[in-house]
Amino acid sequence: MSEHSHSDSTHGRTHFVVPVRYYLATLSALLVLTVLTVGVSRIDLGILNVAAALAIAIVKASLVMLFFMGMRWEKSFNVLIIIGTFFFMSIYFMFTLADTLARGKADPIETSRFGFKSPVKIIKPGEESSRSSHSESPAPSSESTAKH
Amino acid sequence: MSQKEAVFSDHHIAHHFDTAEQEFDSAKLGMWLFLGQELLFFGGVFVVYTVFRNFYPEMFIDANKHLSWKIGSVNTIFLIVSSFTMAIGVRSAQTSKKNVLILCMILTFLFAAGFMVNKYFEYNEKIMHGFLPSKWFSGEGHFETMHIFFGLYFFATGLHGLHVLVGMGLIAWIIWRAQKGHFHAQYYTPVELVGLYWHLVDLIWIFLFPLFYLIG
Amino acid sequence: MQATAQSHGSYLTHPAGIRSWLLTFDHKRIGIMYLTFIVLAFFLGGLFAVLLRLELLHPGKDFFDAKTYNQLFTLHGAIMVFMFIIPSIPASLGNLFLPILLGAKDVAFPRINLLSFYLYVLGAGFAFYSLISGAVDTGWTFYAPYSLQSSTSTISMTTAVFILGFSSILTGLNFIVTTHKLRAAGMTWYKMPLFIWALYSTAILQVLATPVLAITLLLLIIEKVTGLGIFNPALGGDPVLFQHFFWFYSHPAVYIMILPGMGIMSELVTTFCKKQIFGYKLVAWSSVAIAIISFLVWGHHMFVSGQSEYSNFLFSILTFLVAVPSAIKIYNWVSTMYKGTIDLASPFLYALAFIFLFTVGGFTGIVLAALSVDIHLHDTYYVVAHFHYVMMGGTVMAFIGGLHYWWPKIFGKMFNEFWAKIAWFFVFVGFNMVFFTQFFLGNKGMPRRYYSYIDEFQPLHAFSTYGSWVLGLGFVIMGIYLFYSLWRGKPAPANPWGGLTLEWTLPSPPKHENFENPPKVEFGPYDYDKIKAATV
Repeated sequence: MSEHSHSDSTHGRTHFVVPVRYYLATLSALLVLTVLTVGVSRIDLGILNVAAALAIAIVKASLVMLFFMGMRWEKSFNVLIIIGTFFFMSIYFMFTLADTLARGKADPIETSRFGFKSPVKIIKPGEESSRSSHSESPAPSSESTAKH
Repeated sequence: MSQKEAVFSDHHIAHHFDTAEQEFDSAKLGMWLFLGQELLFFGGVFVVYTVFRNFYPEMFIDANKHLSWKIGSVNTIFLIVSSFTMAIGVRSAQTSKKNVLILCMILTFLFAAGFMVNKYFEYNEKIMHGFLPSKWFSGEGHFETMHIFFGLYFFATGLHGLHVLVGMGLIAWIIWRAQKGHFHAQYYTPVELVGLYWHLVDLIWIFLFPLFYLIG
Repeated sequence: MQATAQSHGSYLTHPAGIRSWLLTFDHKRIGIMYLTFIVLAFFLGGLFAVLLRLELLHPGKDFFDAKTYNQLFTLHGAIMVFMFIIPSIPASLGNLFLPILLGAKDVAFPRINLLSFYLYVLGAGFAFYSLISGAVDTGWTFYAPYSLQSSTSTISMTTAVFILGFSSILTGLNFIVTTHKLRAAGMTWYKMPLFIWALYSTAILQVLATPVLAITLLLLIIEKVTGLGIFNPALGGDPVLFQHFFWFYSHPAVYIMILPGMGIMSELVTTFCKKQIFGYKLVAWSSVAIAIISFLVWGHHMFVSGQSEYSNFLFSILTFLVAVPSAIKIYNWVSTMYKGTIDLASPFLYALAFIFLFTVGGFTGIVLAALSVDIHLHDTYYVVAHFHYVMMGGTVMAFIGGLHYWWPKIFGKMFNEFWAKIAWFFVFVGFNMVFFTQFFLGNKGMPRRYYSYIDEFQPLHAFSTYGSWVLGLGFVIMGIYLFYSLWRGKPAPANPWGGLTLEWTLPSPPKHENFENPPKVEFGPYDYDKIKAATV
């Protein structure tokens, strides 16, 4: 654990100045990864799309944290705070999903809905909306019913 | 190399600290703790997203078509480049390069403003189609839970946008103090802290972008 | 306040004037301002408790109708939790003593400390507004969908809590940085008083858990105003998700409540037994362990909510785990008392009460952690009794014990020891009358938050209500003698109890800058075996 120093270094103290090449390299990598993530999303990989998007986002986030935020050279306790934060966030995700993903196993009533009033004006798939459409042609997926 | 010229002003450390080093380290530790709590704050938004994406996967894919991945990509690039200019800016303060610092802060500010302008156009379009949170939702769609997606979209991007605006205010404050010569190699703590905050704003968008704009 | 030779030049009198108080950066003055509000919140929350217990004397209407009753228990809970107990020890005693115990001049960020205080006041203001503009009746837990539909002022109350949350976050942030960076020369981590370890662990929870409460309340407010559709089933949402979000914070919150009390316990037990703490490192790290494990158990509030069986199983097992570090502390305090030189002064009486009452609360918590048993006991008076034993029998006893322990140091006055013991007696007896009864009520099936009940429960309810009067009397007596001491109390010596921690080396009350010269720490905080403590 860090203790404060009594040394009289109020002037002329130097902190590590990150060489510009680290910032340039990080910027380039981030831009490339952005192009990559957009590109991958245009291809249909099924369930892998989500995994790929998240993986690339995690790499980008790590680059921002390590180099732009300086975590690569940062004091270990400060890094521990962020690691701890992510640890607790992952608990939050996992334990909540342990519930929401596993509903309905005992009794189907756990996933049905009652008294639901939707504000959405439903249009059938393939039908054009009455307002000018700006989107690509809608995917012909089936309408969701009251279940789930 | 860090000669203090006449254009810089001295910094006096607070009375309860013994050294400037101690004061700087304390400020940084405090900032990292603040970032930790901001991460958990936004974490909740992502948990809601995950839960509902698992509840209504097809609706998410369908609703996503009403978002423009092009504008989203441009915004992502704006924030990434602004993070770069911010990092160079902090480095300039660290090396007493006052004019570079001010230039970098102005560039960062402009990219942030560009982000917000894009956001304005995006929101405007959604509003015109009636894609608003439930109470005011008057849009058309294939799924009856579509209002949830747009409610979440506005909440998440709106909260993030609010943080961008606060960041812009902080950057303007840094510019104002920088031109008075407050920041140099012996003291650049506020620049460092605003820099960390700004990178966090970028970080959150790095996750928001694929989750809202690049679905399916 | 009389300007005696001791208080002349103290932080209380110098600098003078109300502006110097309202704009102070001095952690001690901020602590006093917090203390005032916290005590007021306690009495207000207590008033609501007395009123609701009054209504429960008989089934059916006694004084209030059902809706008012709902408002009474909601306000009792919300005020006690958010305005009293969560800030109680950290914001008052923590602010007053954390820097001094570390040998520092102030906290790391004094201006943020003042901001924390004013955020608290702002939050209290919103809460008060909510009270007078249609007081909330949702229960302090604000469960969806009722909180989304209730016509009462849920938005102003949840906004109040949101603001109070940021006050808490900033206090925690300040304490963590102060502990890392502003320790005096020679004070290593293992020479810090255990109160600091407890406050530090609490601060971790304050910083990391409270933001989740913030986002929960924000989502709730937005859902109420715009109909987001994530919590309200009528709009496609999931009400159990609200519970996950709410309890992810609120379970660590209960450890925010108890940990500082446990820290005070370590101080009281060592000082009044004149003995080295048994197992310093175990007690220190058990605070950290409690902080970490507390994040893993929130679902035990939701066993019957409809969450999946996997969640139920997971949370039940982990809840048994979180009891272990708390138990370690109890063993260590009792072991510390063994062969100590015991001084039964009033602060120590509260420590003894804590040991008994918190143990009862802890055991009954284990009972509730058992999944199958909880099906029977959830939402009954058993739960109400359990949490009052840990929160009041635990935290409040420790808070009062700490307040009495440090009263001479804070104000430079001794209170009347005889009346202190009388008040303690009423508080202890009254507390058990109110709440021990409720274990039986709950086990027999009396649900909580119910306005009326079947006739067979009436004798137990009545007994519990009489207990609330005894308990209230104890607090009234306490208020009187403490307040009186500020005017007529004997001037306090620097070290009335013979403690070894740094605050007892300062005059009572201390000067504005705390230490004239930065202290150099050679001994540990409880090294009674190494030095003879000089009692003035």
